[in-house]
Amino acid sequence: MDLGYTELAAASRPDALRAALAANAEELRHAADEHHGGEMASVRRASYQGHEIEVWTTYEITVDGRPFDVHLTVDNAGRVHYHGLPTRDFPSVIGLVKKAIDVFGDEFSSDSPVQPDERGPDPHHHDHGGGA
Amino acid sequence: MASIRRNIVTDQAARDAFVSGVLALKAEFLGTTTADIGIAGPARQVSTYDLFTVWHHLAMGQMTPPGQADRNAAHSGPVFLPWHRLMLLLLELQLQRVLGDDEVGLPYWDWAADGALPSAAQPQAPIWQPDGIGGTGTPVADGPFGADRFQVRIDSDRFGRLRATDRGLRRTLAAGVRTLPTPQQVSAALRRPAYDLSPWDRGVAGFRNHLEGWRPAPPGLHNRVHVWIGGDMGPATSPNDPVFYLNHCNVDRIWEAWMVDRGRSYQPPQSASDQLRFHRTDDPMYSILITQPITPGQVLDIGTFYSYDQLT
Ligand SMILES: [Cu+2]
Repeated sequence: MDLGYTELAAASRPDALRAALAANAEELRHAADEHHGGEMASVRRASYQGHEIEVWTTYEITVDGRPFDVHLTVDNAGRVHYHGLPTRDFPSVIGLVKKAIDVFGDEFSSDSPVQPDERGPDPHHHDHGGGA
Repeated sequence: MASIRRNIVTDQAARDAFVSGVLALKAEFLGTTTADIGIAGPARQVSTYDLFTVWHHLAMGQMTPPGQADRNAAHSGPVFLPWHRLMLLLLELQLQRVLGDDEVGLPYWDWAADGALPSAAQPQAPIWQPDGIGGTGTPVADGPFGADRFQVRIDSDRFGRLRATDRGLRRTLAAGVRTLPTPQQVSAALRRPAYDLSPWDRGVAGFRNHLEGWRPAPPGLHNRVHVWIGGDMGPATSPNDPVFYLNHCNVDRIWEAWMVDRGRSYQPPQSASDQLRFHRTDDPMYSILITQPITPGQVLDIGTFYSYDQLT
């Protein structure tokens, strides 16, 4: 099916934009939610000589003694990715946390309010049963 | 009408239209408030421009499939190029609407041309001058998006969640990495024969992954531009900086050059596993700003809407 100019230009008018936003109201209401629902483990999978390899990784990170409880994923080359800085990956988690401090410095300052997320590593979140 | 997308550095009219259109969309409020998008605190109006930033952030949080955090509905997978093509096309149509000119085209920034300059000269290139899009700073102080006329109202915290804010734009040019991508790196990407490869993630050596920047030496091409600019270009709310669109317009131009060379082919086919939902050729792409389904396959040939004045 071809995309038409007239059709898409009409879909870009304010009334059409409002209608699309209304149709997606439920989705939008969760736009500010945390993404990963507390699922904190990263899993790598590979097949080798008929064997299935799985590597589960979780991190417990603190900065100034306060938990920095974010979801990190590790790829099969061992590089670490962090949702807060989505266009980068890192060879080291220390390097990743340093970069997070560079970018979000004010959120790490000692007088910044304690976030509800600073709940500390919770073993119940390390549920290996769910997901992919 | 079909538009022609031009180089922002060499075409003052394209630059001026982009700036006026962006400022008009930043000043347009259609009724959506921060409360409607789940942000705590007093409800504030969300501009049409900022709705695109929210859409990008939402797409990034939509994991495909759920239960892993690598590939999402717009990045680190095959749909990266078609999804951003759709996003840019919808923004271009908004620019045309607010400017009352259906021939207005998004400009592109040919960052590899600046990447050929000595590293010290790169943050001084014409695009960063006041008659371009302004320079570096936290906040940016000069140019059309300086703190006196351009406010960031929604951004992402260190946990990757949206929040309300009210501040000037932030850029830290050349601090995250010292240099922009080079023309040689663009040529190397264009030589990749396959659009994308199984298992369709950040590890494969296809064209999409080269252009997105996960291979061969991260951060490359697109990702490197985000990292080199820094500041608001870092988090999932990176469309907060209008340079996001200039970067992605150039990414789209490079994709177009690849397709002119290699054919308008896309991977994976619809017969691929439903674990690849949002990435297969006939899957409707993730959107909140339009109700009609639009698939990757539908945007491979985009000539009805726009073309580039120059591909390489
Ligand atoms: Cu993006």
